[in-house]
Amino acid sequence: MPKTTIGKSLFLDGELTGKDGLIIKGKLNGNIKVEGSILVEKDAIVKADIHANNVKISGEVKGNISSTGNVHYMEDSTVTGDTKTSRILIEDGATIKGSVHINI
Amino acid sequence: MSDPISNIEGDIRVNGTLSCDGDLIIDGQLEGELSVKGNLTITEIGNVAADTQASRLTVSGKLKGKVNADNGVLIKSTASVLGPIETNQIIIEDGADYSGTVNMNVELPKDL
Repeated sequence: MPKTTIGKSLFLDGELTGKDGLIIKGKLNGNIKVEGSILVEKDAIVKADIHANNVKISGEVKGNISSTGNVHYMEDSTVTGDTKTSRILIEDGATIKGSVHINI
Repeated sequence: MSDPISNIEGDIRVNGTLSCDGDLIIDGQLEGELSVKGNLTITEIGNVAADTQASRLTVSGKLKGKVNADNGVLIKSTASVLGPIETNQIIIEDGADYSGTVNMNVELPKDL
């Protein structure tokens, strides 16, 4: 599980990079490029392009998502943007606007 | 219910403006601007290059930039801090590296 947490009371405007993963519960504008996993929790609002290993989303994301592992859009997720990944799971109830590319 | 603590930990670098209504712990690297309404802690492996505003600040790692902390600044013995500090209360532990000016918002007696 990632250790870094962008908590509910936190707002970040800028770039996030690194080798580890993170959990986002708050608001983030900008760019995320990490080698670890990303979890966007319910009520989180992310306006950023995301490059990560595994991506799991339960909140709101506006931006393109590219994953080297798998992508999981949970039932209460809202995603606006294109998705590039090798594996994807979209749950019933997830809202997506954008293209999905699954590379084989 | 609410979680007041956010943390930047491990190999994660932040570049930009970070504002926080609660407490924040920095275990990673941050460059930019930092505005925390609660307590800010920079741990021994934390490395921050930012103008920093917080209610209370505790530094054990590296910090470079202007500091404004109304309710106190604690610079621990392992810390290395560079930059002007504005606060009402300050503690610098033996062994800490500090270079900068300290401005405490106190009124000195007139006859001093």
